[in-house]
Amino acid sequence: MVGLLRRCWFRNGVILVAMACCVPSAELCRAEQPHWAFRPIAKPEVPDVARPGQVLNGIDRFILKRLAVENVRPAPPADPATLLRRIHLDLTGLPPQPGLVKSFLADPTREAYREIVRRLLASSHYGERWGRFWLDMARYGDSNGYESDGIRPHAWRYRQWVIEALNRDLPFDRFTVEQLAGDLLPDATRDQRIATGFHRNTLVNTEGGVDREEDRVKRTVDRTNTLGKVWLGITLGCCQCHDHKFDVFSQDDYFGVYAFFNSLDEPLITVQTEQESAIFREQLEAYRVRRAKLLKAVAAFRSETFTRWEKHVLRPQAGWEVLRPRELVGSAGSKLTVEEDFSVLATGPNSQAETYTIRATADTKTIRAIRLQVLADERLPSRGPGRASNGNFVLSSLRIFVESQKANSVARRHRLASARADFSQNSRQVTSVLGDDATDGWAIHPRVGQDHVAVFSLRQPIVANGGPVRLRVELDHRVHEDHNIGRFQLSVSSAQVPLLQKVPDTGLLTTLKTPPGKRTGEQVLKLIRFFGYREPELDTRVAAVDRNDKTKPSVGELPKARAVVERRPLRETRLHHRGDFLDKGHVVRRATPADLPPLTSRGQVPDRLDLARWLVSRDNPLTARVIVNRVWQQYFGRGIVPTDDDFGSQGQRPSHPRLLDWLAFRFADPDDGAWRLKWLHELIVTSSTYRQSSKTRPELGERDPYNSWLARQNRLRVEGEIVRDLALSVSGLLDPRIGGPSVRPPQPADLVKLGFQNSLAWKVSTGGDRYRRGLYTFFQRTVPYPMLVTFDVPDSNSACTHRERSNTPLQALTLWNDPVFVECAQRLGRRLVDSVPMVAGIDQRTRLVVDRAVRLGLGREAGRIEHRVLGDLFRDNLERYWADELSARQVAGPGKWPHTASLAEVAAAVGVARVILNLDEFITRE
Amino acid sequence: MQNRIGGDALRRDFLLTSASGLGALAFSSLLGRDGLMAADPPTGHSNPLAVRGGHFPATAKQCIFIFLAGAPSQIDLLDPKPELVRHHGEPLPRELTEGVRLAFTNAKTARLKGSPRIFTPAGDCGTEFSDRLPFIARNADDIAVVRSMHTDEFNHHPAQLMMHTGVGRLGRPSVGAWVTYGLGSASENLPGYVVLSAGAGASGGTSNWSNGFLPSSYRGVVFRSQGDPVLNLGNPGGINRSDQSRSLDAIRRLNQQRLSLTGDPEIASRISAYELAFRMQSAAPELMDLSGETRRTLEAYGVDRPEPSNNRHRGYTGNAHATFGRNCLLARRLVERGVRFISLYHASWDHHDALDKDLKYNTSVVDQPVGALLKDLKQRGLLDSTLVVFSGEFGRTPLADTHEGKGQQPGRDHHRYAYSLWMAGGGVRGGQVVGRTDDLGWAPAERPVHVNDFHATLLRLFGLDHLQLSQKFGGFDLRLTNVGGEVVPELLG
Repeated sequence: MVGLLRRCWFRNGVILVAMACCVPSAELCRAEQPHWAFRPIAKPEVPDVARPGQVLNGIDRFILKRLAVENVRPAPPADPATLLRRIHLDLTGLPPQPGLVKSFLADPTREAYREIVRRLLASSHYGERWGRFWLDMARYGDSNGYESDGIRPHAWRYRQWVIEALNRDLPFDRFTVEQLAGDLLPDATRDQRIATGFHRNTLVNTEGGVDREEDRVKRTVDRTNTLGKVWLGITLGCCQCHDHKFDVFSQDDYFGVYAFFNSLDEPLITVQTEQESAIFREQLEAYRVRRAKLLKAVAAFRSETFTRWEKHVLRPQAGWEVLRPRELVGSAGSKLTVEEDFSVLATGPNSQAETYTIRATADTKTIRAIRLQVLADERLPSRGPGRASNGNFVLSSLRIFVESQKANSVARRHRLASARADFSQNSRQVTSVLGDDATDGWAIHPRVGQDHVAVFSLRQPIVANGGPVRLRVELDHRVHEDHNIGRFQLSVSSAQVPLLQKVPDTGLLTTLKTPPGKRTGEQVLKLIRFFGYREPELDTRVAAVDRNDKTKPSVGELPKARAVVERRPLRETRLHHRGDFLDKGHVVRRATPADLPPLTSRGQVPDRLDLARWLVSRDNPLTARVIVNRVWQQYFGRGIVPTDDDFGSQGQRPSHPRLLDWLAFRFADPDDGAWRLKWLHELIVTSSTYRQSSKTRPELGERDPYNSWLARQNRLRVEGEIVRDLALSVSGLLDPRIGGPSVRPPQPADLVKLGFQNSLAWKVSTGGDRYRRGLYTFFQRTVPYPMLVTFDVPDSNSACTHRERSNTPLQALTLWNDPVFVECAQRLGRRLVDSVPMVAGIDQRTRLVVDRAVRLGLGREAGRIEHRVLGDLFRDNLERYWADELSARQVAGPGKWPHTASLAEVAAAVGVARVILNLDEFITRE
Repeated sequence: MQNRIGGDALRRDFLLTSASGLGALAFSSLLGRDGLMAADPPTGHSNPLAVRGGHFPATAKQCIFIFLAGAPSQIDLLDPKPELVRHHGEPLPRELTEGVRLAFTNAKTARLKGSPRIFTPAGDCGTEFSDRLPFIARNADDIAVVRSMHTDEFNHHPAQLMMHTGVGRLGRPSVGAWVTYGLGSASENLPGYVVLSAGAGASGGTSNWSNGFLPSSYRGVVFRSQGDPVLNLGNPGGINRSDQSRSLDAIRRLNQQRLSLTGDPEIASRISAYELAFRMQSAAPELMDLSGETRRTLEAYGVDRPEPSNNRHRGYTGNAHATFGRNCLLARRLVERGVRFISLYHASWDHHDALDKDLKYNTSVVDQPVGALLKDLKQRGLLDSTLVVFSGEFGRTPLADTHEGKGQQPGRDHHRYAYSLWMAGGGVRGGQVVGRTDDLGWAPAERPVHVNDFHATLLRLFGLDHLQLSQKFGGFDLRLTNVGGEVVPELLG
């Protein structure tokens, strides 16, 4: 029993280890010879084959050898147009340009093909297409996931790194090391640290009430599982299915790997180059200078009516006295400073169990209430008012004391009687501030980025004993790490029932107390905005300030990236009993699974860098096989090992084991492939195996139903992002810029109106950003872009190593009616008629439109059937739209059309374009 | 693994034989015949959802499968255990702890937890239901409660797969896919298998409605749970229905040409998907438009129920009450429109802690609409032919879960040895309880019903023989009931 199979399961990411008690066959499994995938990779001899004429490279020999055994001939090569589109979609995810189709069809030689392959591998679009392949495994997303699903404005830096790394063909061993342990490399560069953003793609739960440690454990579990799945092709966590029933990775093995990830800290690093930050500072300075000048003009404004008005609003706001802090202390290191309006700003360290102590003197004779205003501020994360990354805070208690001037006298505490706030977070009510309970408090998520106010009345009034009252106010933050208030202002009142009036701008009081004429431009601005004063000349000056404000360089634009660093001292890793992270077992040291080759470590305690190097060491039998297989899977739809994430004994065995080893050995051989992915791609796509026709061979259906012998290529529906890229590309709308932050293309109208949670922030991108490639679409985990979901883009909650390829009516509705595809059809329609000579007759025009539609859309020449079907459609459409100009106008859509065509012709061509975009062939790599 | 070529290729074989209609094929394969490959690729396409008959006369024609992901506590809902209440706080008898594995709880140190719920006999039959299910209980005379369910899996995803596909592994078709594959769907204008969910998703995700190795036309089509259930139904401006029809015609003709050139049956699936999409354009808005429903109906289903202010349950903030109510009503409307199989999901039933509080919330989401659904189906004469199932993936322990991480109220752990589900309509003999668990609710004491038996029975209600409804895959004739399954005759009317 002991030492037998132990299985790890997950519930909400918590590891759960259940003792199996009935699996004698696991013992047999232990005793068996090493499983094929754990044996060292040797370089097999390339077999001789009977038909060397069909051999373009070594791959073909392995494939033909097997076919010969089965007495099957390979399929003929794909026709040149199919091959050209295939290689374009496979290497760049974009269709070939019509000019290239023409020249390749004229000269479809092997040399011309090789040249095209080389050019495509050198194209920056290669990094986008294969970058997306990797991002599936990196579970990339632009938001945190879970309920609050806050956005990650800097996540794209990691995506950028992936694209660039692939484009410069960073060898896969280094690609691995930099992502897993770039921070530990000697003199780690900026890029190497960005690469560690790989670990930061996990979900993060920022909800109130979440146990931070539990969530950290979940992330660590995810990192452990991802390593197993992506590099080793082993489901270490067994969390998905029973496939690995008999693979013997013990709980100690599991936590040995887990320990490597158990000491990560997760900072946001500044990654701008010196030049970038200089530019930023310069821009900011220029903006400030302009602003000061414009404000001066506002302050200098004088008119008779304005002067009268200023006097009128001079009456100070009754009721509240703003406390002017004399002394400020942050118990856990926060730096507190007084602003010009006597509000307090917190900067510096932002830790847990922080208490702000504010000492101030009040003139109010009888204090019956205290008011706390928390203030939004650009300098705070998410504009505050809290210091948590989402702008929230949790105030656990507020205490007020009266201090005596006498030395050694004890301050007297005044208890609070009631509390009201303009807004409280669902489970974090303001009343929880009244007591000293450190487990609950007042918070304001999701209404961050705005001011809030809370008013507390005292049980017993504080009565001045002649002279001012010396107050001490303590604000406790004990519920959440880093959820401290960022900016606040305190006031007191003698009112019996103080008004819970939200003052939109708290600088107002100070302003009102400043005599007219001495007010700064900023103050005047506040005043007239608050009271709504308007006068043409003043409006002009204010508008100038506003215009300038829009040019303010945003802190958000400062190049930051999500990275990891190793925490010192290291956290101790203990096994989690029964999956409960609170119930810890014995200490587990960092180690790789016992059944795999040993780890070499640089120091006494191995670290992630050692682990990463171990993964890509030549002794490791799995990594090279797994990655080679996965690349193969992209090209043929099925891996040599069909269970690409299960190389264990319950996975399927390779269809061509020697081919797999031959590829893996050569790929990792420093004198051969040297881990270069482009080398591998070139090898595969220049084989005759890859170049075969994908036409089905009914005579083999029964003998080889999976086409695992590869007696032909396979037709594969392209990935969701590429469905989009194709439509944008053929319609000429695509903005081909590489990289940059994520964008928000239009969504169906019925979705936009939803506006719940964070999805309401879906502000459709403008300009070129509306037409970027699919992989740049902002990925909000709880509400992913519907078109992508419909086409099986993974949810990115955990590493995905192969996608589904579903085929549903919802896909048809998307291609037909989604606003993006409608717009594409409208633009493609214009392209179909823009080069048709005006003098041509209707039949000739129809022919030309169809020719162009098939060439642009499908990358080949139109045949008889296309001419008949699309020609009929075009003519029918023409007839209809000549008679119905209103419909024609709607179908043609906004924007100009070529002068060579009539409106009806454009509309008719849009109809043809729409059919092209909806063809199975259009979204299929044949 | 349906996403891999293996699945695709198999679908191809399958479709290649479909020239004479998939119905014929389905049954040639049901009969386990060889010779699946036809020599010629199909020249046309046929409707994979065309209605066909089963092996026996059917009592059930349609199914609404209500799945409570996370596994509700049968002890607090459907299986009253007075003895357990009496022994509350005591350890589990030693003979029961041997060889037991639980997810989070140490069976040797854990204490029995009696249910605080009050069970009352309902209907003429007197079946006892918990006070958390008052609306469902009103339909007691139509309901058969199975109290002796058991499964092989004790973790969510595998157990959900087991409950849907008969096997706790990925890659198999779900029960909805099998039924639709076997019988087609009477709805010409809507998918044959529709999935609706409310609240947080189930951990089984899309694998719960997978077509596995069956053609992709049998996969569950997911309607959205927020806003409109189906997007992009309206044509773009200036395109009327006849324009769309001409467009569809052109797409079909060109796709057919490609199909005959390449022989790839995935194109045949796409052709059917377009035909269906076109029909959905007029059928789906009509389906989703609830304005024709009376106020009474809307209120009965609780379509406009507000979400309680503190609804932060398992990471979901939408209005589960309203969505689930709407989904139940949509389910009835889907049934009226002939859809073969409708799956309703509601997750967040995994009550390891705070059982009382969370169960109260969850039952307040589902009880009223499900009760209304049964009543409504019956009033409209639809219940006779519509099978309604109400189940989770396993049960919960009679023990208190010792995993009380946050010091909250206790809950119950996963329990695969015994759980309860209920079935109603579709020829099920209502007003009865099938099976019995021991006094502590630990294991079935009478008439154990395995998941495979449940599936065999479900198929039988649809007139399908679970041994004959099979598909060749990887050299085996695979079926929903895997290598087991016996029909439970007591459940049949």
